[in-house]
Amino acid sequence: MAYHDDLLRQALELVHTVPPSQVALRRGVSAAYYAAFHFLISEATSNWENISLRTALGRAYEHGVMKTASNRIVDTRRFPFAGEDETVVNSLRFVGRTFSELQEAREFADYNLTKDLGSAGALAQVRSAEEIFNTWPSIRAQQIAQAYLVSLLVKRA
Amino acid sequence: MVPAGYIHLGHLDAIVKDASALLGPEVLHVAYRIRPDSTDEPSIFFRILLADAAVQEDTIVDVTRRIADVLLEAVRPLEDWGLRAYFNYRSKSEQDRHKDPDFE
Repeated sequence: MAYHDDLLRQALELVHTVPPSQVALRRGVSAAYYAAFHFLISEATSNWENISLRTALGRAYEHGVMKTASNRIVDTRRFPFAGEDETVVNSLRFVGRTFSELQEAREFADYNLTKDLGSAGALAQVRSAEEIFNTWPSIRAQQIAQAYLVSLLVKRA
Repeated sequence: MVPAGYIHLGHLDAIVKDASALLGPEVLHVAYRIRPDSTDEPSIFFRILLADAAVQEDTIVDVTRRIADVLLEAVRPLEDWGLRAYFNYRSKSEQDRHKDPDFE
């Protein structure tokens, strides 16, 4: 099983910890973000023909660049994706938006102790990360999805 | 797009209120805050209070995705306001147990 699959499974286990605790919910959200992070990197680097170098290539990805790229495709004015299949576009925007949201949620989960993280919110975040995994296979072959993967690595659009 | 720092809060508030009316009965309240996100980009943080029945294991993704889609389409945070949008959810019973002013 791939590392990102293990992370997602761990995230799901953590948000279902009984009784729920702040540490379990927060670690669950954090694990869910990293599951999505490593999943997208894995998808991107799988295009690299030399299999043994894929993990090394994955080290080039940066959180901030990935978030910026993910927010960019949500912007319907800058990225109308004219002529593209609407279902594919909606799925791709969902992936981008969810990734960005997970990164922000991880920031809260890991660093902001000024208020509690709610279990409903944590469950929604973890299930959304899982939905990235479920959604991606249906758009993986599309050029706009592959372009998004490339954009995750590019500092200047 | 409205430049960051020049947001007409009254106008935005009216749009969010109108958009909230489009949501289903599972949504009890929509609150929001405008502030920078963790990368200092101007952002709008939606805080959605959900009926307990809406927070179900097998439907939470559909419910939250639908809510986000409706608000994004109606408010157009990025396109019309230059704001990145984030969503967080809380169940009614959670809010009753531990009041979070961000959700009110």
